[in-house]
Amino acid sequence: MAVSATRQGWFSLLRWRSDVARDEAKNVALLLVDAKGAFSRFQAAPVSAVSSRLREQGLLDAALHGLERQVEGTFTLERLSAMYAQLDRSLYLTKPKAVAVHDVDTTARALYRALIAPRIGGSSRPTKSVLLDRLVTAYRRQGVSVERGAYIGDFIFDAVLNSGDQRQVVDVLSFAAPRKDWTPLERDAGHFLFGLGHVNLPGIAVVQPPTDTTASIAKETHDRVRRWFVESKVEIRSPEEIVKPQLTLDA
Amino acid sequence: MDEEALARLDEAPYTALDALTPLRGPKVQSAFTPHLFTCSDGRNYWVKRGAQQGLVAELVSGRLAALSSAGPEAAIVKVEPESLTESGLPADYEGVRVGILDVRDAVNGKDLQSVSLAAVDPKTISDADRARVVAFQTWIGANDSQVLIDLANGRLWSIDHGDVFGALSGAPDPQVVVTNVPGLPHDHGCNPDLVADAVAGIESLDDDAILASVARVPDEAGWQADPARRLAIARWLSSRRDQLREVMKKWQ
Repeated sequence: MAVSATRQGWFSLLRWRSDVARDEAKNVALLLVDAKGAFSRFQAAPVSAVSSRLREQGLLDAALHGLERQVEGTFTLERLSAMYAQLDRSLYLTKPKAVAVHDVDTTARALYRALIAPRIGGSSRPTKSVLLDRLVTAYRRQGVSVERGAYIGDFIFDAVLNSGDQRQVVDVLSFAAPRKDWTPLERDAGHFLFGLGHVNLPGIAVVQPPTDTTASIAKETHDRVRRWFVESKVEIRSPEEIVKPQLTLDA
Repeated sequence: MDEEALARLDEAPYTALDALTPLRGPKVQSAFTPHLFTCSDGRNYWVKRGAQQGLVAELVSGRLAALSSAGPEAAIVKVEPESLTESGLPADYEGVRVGILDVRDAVNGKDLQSVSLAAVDPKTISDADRARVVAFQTWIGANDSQVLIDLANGRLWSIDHGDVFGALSGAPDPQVVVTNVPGLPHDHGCNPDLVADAVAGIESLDDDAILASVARVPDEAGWQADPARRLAIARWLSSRRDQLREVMKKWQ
């Protein structure tokens, strides 16, 4: 008699509702586990697809990253159930539910695609939030600890990098995503430079340059902001310079 | 179109998706009401465990509906007991079943009245889709015909084909099937060009395509899918396809 290769798995969806009273939640991550911890997977949506607000992105990113590290170890149905019982505010879990598991990775991918993935595959436009998603992932793969949307003193930065005893702050600007008004990018850069002067830390500006089809006003703003960074001796890097080394290692 | 040709197609095993977990279903269960499952391709399917004329009717009609752009895709779905654990679903969901791809943002036409939407605005419903659905449901002789309506973009789809292929011999000539949608005129989509396009889409499915649509089907309990019946279905569909252009002229 043939023995089924199908295993019993359990999954919960991590949901985010910025207003608990309205209960308008978004599915943001999948937790897939074996009852006894024989396997576990965590798969999260890009933070940029969940919230466009930097501070909210920071809180959510920290929660997702912390949860991912927990699930990467041995994670059982008992722990998932305990977490389900505990979380009941903006972040909460759906009740663990049975799932037939033929292949753990295939099952995780299928559940993610069906229940979590942005409906149109996420934004392909290199907006600031999308760039931040990529940068945070790339830095973490390189072993750098990253806080997204984090305050130092009175100043919020797009990302704060911690590597050993070194700390750096990051500003991310995209001139390649379409927008009507480019002055907010000047204010963004100005706030970064002002904050940088107060926190006494080295800064990096990650700048996605305009494309050939970007409006000319974007190019003017880009050139202006670059001049500010150069005059302030802020290192300017392109997103590719940060993301690419890891891609090469993965290839 | 003969036994040997079908047997040759059947030599290749059928492919099935795995049902991973049930999502939701009707509040009242009956033998033929579907339940929504997430499946191994990362999409959601309404899985049926039975159909009036066997699951073969639902699968073959679904395959043809997708090929003629008149309905969502149909797939063979394997439901293992691990996907039913603590779900409260009847154990007879387990087995090899049929799944119809879920269409997001869509409502069943017959549900519109129950949510007090007494009538749709015809201007918001695709007339090309209506023509395709009418031609398709006429071709397969849809009984208890139903449609899905995407109220966001006006797309219309034919669904629930489990009651077709009941009488395959001595059947009367095809009759035009126009599924009622509250507020939608009987002749919405009845434009000669649209009807001609819809019929041409079905006529483009030659005998090889029809035979392929009845091949590689599980022959298990509840399927009514023995080769002789499947061949009879293919021949019946072929004959009706050749009559369709004339029959559709009766739609007014």
